[in-house]
Amino acid sequence: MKERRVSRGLVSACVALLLAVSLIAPACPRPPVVPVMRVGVVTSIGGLGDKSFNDYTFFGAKAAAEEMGVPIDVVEPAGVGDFEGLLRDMALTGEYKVILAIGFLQMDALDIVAAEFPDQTFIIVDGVVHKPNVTSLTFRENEGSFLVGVLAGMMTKTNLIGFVGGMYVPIIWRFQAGFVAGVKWVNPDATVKITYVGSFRDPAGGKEHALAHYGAGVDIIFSASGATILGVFEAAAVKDKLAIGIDVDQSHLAPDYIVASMIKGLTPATYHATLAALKGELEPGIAVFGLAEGVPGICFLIPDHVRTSTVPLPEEVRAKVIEARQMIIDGRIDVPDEHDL
Amino acid sequence: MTKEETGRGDRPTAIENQGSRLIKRAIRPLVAIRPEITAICAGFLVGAIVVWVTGHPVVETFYHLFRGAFGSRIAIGMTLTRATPIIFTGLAVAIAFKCGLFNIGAEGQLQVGAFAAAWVGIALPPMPPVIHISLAFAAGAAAGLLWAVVPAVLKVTRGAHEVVTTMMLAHVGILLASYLVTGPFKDPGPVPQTEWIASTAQLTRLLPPTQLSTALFVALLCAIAVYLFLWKTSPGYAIRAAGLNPKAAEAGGVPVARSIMLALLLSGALAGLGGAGEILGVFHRFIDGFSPGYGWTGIGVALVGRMHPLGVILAAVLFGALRAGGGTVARAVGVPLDITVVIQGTIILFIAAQRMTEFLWERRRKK
Repeated sequence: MKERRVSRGLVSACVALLLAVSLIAPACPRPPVVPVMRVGVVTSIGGLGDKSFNDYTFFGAKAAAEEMGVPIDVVEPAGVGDFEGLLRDMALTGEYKVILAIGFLQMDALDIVAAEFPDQTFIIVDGVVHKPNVTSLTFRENEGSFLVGVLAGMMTKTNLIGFVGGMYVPIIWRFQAGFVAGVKWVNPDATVKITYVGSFRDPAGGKEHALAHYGAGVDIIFSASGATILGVFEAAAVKDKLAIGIDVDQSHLAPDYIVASMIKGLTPATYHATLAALKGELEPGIAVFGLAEGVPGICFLIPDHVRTSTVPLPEEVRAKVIEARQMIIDGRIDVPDEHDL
Repeated sequence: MTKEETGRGDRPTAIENQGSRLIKRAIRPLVAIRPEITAICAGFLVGAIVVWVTGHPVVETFYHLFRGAFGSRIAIGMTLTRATPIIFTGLAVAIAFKCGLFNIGAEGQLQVGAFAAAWVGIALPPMPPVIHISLAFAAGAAAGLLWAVVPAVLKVTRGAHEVVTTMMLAHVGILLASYLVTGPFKDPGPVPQTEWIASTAQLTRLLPPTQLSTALFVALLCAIAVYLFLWKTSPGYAIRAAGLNPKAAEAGGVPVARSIMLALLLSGALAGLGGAGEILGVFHRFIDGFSPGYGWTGIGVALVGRMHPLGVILAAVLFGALRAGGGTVARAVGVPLDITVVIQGTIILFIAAQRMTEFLWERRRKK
C-alpha cells in the first residue's frame, strides 16, 4: 500500500515534469528570425469574419501586401485592453514596414505606442491620432449615406422611411445626418423614423427594431449598425420590404430585399495607404475619403460592379443618384454631418 | 521496494527510508493538485491537437505562446496585467462559493465598480494620490457591494436563487455603465468613454511601458485578506460552515443568513475592486466595453484555483499568460487568439469533470 502511494505520486510527478518540459522544450529549437519587410494589422473588437468593416479593411491591406509580395500578419484582440500590448508587440519586432490599427477604439493605445516607436510607420483606420509617424484614414460617410437617402426617398411608396442605428455614437450620427438630408433633398414629404439598437453585435435587436418600423408602415430601411444589420435584413425578408446595406455591397446577403448598399470606401483607402507605406511614400497626417476622393458612395457606382440584387432599380433613381453625387463633388450640395444634428 | 530491486536484505536501510520520505514530502503538493495538473495537461494537449489539425506548426506555436507570456520583461508585464483583474473576480467567485453560493454576476459588479472608481477619479478636486486612490478603490468596492445587496437580501429573505438574481443584475450593471458612458459622462469624440481621471488617481506603473500597475499588489493583498478572513476569523469560519452544510451549521448555532449576506456582499466588493483596478491602473478612464468578460473568466479562475486564494492567483496567472502569449502566437504563427480560448475551455471542462478523473484514478488504484 505504501509503495503504491509513492508510485501514484511518481506518476503525478512525471505528469508535472511533462508539463514543464512541454513548456520549456519548445524554447530550445529557436526558429531563425529573418528580417523581412512585413505588413501588420490589428483588427477592431469585431475581428475578421464580420463581412463588413474589419474584413473589408483587411482586404485592402492584403491586396497591397500581395501586390508588393510582402507577408501580412493579422491579430484580433480579445478586448479593448489588448490593443496597446498587441501594437507594441508588433512594433518591438522591428519587422513591420507598416502597422495598421483598425477602428477608433485603438486611438488611445496607438497614441501611446506611436510615441514609443517614432521610426515605425502606423496607419489608423476610422480614427485620428496626431503623431508624426501616424497616418489617419477617415471617411465622410455622410456623403454615401446621402446617396442612399436619395434612393430611399425615391423608392418609398408610403413616404415612411426607417433608420436603424447601432451604438449611439457620433460616427453613426454622421450616417444618420447624411441619410436624412438625402431623403429630404429628393422627397421633402417623406418622414424618416429613427431608432438606435444600442449595439453593433445584436442582430436579434436589429430585427425587432426593423419589424416595428415595417409594422408602422415603413417600406425601406437603412441601417448603420455593424453586425446588427443582419437582423434588419431578416426582418425585410419576413415582411417582404426593402433594406439598404452598408460599408460594402451586401446585396448578396438577401438579394430579393437589399436594393443597394452605401459604400464607405474602406478597401480602396486602405489599399492605397498601405501601398504608399510599402513604397515609402506615405505622408503622415489625416487623409479624409469622400466622393471627391473617388469613393463610389453607392454600390452600383463601383467600377465593374455586377449587381446581385434582384430588386428592380428604376433608371430615374439611378440618374438622380448620379446627379446628386456630382453635385456633392462640385460643392453644390452641402451634406450635413454629425455636428449638424 | 522488492528484494530483487535492492539486491540486499529484506529491510530497507534507514537512508533509503529517509529518501523515500523526502520524495513523498516533495511530491505531496503535486499529488494534492493532481486533477488540476491533469486538466492543464489536457488543455495544452487539446490545444496542440487543434493547432496540428488546422495545419499550423505545433512546436513553434507553443514556443511563441511561452515567449509571449514569459519571454521578456514586457511579456511578464503583460501576463501579470491580464492576471490582475481575474485575481479579483476569481476571489469574488471563490468567497461566495465557500458559502455555497454561485455569484455568476461578477461582471456587472466589476463594471459598476469600474465606473464608480472612474467617477471619483474625475469628479473629485486635486488631493494627495494616496487619498485619491484609496477613495477611488473604496468607491469601486462600494458600488460592487451595492450591486450584490439585492441578490443577498432576496436570497436571505425570499430564498431567491442567487444564480438567477446575480446574473440578471449583471446585465443591468453592464448596460447601466454603458448608458452612463455613452450618455451623461461621455467625453467629446468618437469613442464612448469618459474623460481622463486625474493624475493623482492613477496608479504607478510597475514595468513601463507595459500597463502593469500597483493594482497587482492590491489584488495580492486582497488574496491574503480573503485567506486570513476565511480561515482565521470566526465570521469566515461561519461562512465556510454554512457553505459545507447550512442545516448542520444552523443547528450548530452558526448565523447562516448573516454569513450568506456577508459572503455575497464581500464577493461584490471584490469584483468592484477589480473594475476599479483596471480603470485606475490600465485605462485611466472608463471605456465602454473595457472588460472582455473578466467577471465570467473569474468563474473559471476560481474553479481551476479550487476556490482557494493561492489557487486563484496561480490560475489567474495561467489564464493571463495564455492571453498575453496568445497575441504573440497570432502575430508570429498566424494561429488566431481563439486557440487560448480552446485551451482555457478544455482546462475548465476537465476541472468540472474532476469527479470523472478522480474516478479513473480510484479505479487505477484498485487494480
